[in-house]
Amino acid sequence: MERVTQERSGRTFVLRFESSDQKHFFWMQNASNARDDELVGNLNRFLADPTAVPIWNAGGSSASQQASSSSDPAGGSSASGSGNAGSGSATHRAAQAAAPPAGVATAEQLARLRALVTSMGASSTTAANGGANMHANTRPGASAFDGGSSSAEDDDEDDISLTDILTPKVILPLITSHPSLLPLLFQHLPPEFISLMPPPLPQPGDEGDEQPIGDPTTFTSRSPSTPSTSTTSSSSWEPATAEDIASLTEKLRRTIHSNPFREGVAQLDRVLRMGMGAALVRSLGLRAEAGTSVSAFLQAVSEQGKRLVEAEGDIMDQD
Amino acid sequence: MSGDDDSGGWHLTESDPAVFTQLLKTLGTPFIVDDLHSLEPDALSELQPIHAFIFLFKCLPLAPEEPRGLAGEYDPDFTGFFAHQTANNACATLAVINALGNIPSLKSDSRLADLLNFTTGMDPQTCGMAIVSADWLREAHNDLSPPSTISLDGLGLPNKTEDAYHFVVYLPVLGCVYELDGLKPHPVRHGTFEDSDNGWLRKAREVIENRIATYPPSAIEFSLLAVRDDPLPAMNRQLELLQQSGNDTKAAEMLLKISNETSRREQWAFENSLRRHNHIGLAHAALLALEKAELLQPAIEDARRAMRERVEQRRRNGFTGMDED
Repeated sequence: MERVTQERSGRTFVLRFESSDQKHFFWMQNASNARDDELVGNLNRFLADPTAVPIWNAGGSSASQQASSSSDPAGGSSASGSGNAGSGSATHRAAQAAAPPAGVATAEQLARLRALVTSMGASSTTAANGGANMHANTRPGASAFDGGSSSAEDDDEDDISLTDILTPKVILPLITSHPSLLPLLFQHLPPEFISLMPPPLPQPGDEGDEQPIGDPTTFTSRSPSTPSTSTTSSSSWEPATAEDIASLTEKLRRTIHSNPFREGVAQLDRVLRMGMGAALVRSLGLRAEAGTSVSAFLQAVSEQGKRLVEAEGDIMDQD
Repeated sequence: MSGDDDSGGWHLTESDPAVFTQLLKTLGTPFIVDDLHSLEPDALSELQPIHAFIFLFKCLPLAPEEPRGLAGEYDPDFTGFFAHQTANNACATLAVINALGNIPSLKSDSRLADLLNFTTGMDPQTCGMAIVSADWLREAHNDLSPPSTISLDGLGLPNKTEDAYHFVVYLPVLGCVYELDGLKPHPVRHGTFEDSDNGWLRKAREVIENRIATYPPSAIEFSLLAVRDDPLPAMNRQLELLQQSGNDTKAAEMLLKISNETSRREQWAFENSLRRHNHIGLAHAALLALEKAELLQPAIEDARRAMRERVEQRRRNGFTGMDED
C-alpha cells in the first residue's frame, strides 16, 4: 500500500493487487497523520509476510512499545469505487481493528484490518475513481467466506483450513497407531453410540445385539449439547471390553469419514475464519483469542495439547 | 426460538429417506419413506401400499424458472388438507404434513391429529402459518440436524446444503390424483383414475414423468420418494406364520429379507445420529490427540502447503473472481 502522491493531503493511500488490476483507495481518518506511515508500514509488512511482528513506534503518550493507547484509535477508512452508501459501523470497525493495543491483541487486530482490506478487495470489482471517495464499504468480511476457500490469494490472514487437517488421511494413523488415545475421542461420539454398548459384565447367553428383530435403534432424546469441557482432564470413562473398543473404533472410523463430520469441521473453520469463535472456543477450555482465526485456534489447541502431555507426565511421575 | 429471519427457527435438514422416516416415526405414523429409483409397475408393486409420492427437485442455475404451463388445473374448492409454505427451511416437513393430512384414517401421534383437526377449514396461508407455529413440530424437525449452538443460519452466510430443493406431493384424494405444492396458490387436480389395483400409481406416474420431460436435460436435479407402510411388522408376522407352519425354505427367505431391512434401518439410525450430533467436541479432541501423538504439526504444514498449492493453481488458471465450490 502506498501513498497517492497526487493527492495533496498525503493521507490517501492505494492498495494494488498483484494478481489482478484491482486498486483500492484508503483515506486515513485519524485526526493526526503522525501514525500514517507506521500503520501503512506494518500493513505492508504483514502483506509481505504474515508472520511478521508489527513494529510500533513509541507513541508520544507512552515510552514503552507495549503500552496500549486505546485513546488513540488510528483509523483507516476504505474507499472503493463500488460506491456503497457509507455505513458508520464499517468505519468504526476499521478504526477499532487498527487501534494499537499491546502484545497479542495487536497482531490480532491488524489481522482484522487485513481481513477488512482483503474482503473489500473481494467484493468490489472496479478500481476506485480518484482518491476522494469517502464511502465506507460493505460489511467487513462480507464476501471473504462465500464458497470454500474464498479469494484465497487475497486472504492470507488464514493460510490454512481445518478441513485440510481433520481429514481421514490424517486421523486414521491416530486410530491405527495410538489406540491408547482413542477413549478421549470415543467420549465425543454421539451418546447413543456409547450408551447402546452391551453392559460391561457379560451376562450368560446374552451376547451381541439385544434389539428385537425389526426394532431399529431408538432415538434417545437429545440433551443440550455443548461440547464436553472434560477433554482437558483424562477420561473417566473407559470402554469395558475389547469388543467395545473394536466396535467404537469402527464407529469412530465411520464418523470421521461421514458428511456430517466433514460439515461440522467446515462450519468450525468458517466460524474461526470470520473471527467469531470466541464463545465457542471458551466452551472448549481455550481463551477467547483462540477464536479469532484458524491459525490462532490451532496454536492454542497445540499448546493445550502440550500442557496436557506435561500434566499427565507429572501425574505419572508422582505415582 | 422463533427467529425474525426467514427461517423462523427451523433448521435446514437433509432430504434423505432416513431423515424423513425418522420424522414419520416421531409423528407416530406406521410409515417409512423410501427412495424410488424406478417408476416401473413391478418396482412399485414391491413397495405397496404406497400412500404418496414426494417429488424433490432443484433447479440448476442455468435452467429457466418454470418453463411450462400448468398441467392439470387448480382446485380452489379442495376439501382436503393443504398448507402453504411459510417458512423456508420447513419445506420438507411441510410436504410431509401435506401428505399425511390427506391420508384417510391416519394413525398418528395425538399432537398431529390435534393439529390437523385444528386447521380444518383454514385457508392455505393460515393453515401454513399454523403448521410452522407448532413448537413441538418444529422441535421434531430440528431434532434431525445439529443443535443450533453451531448453526450459522442467522449470520448471513450463503447456504451450502440442499436448501434449493423444492418438494411437491402427489397423492390420491377422493378419486383424483392431486399435486400439493406449498408454493402454489391451490392444489392441482390431475384427473381421475381407475380404482383398481395400482390405479392411482399409474396416473401419478404419468403426471410425474410428463413433468420431468418438460425440463431440458440437466436443467434439474430431482429425486422421488414414496411414503409407504413400514413393511417390517408385516414381515415379522409372516415369518411367524411360516415358522409355525414348518415352511422352512420360505421362512429362511423371509428371515433374510427381514435381516436386510433391519440392517438398512440400523444404517439409517447411525446416519441420523451423526446428523444430529455436534461434532465440534470430536474435532477438538481429535486435534488434541494429534498433538499428543506428535502428528499435529506435520498435518498443519501439509495443510498450509495444500492451501498454497490451491492458491497457486487459481493464479495459474486466472483469477476470475468466481468461487469454485
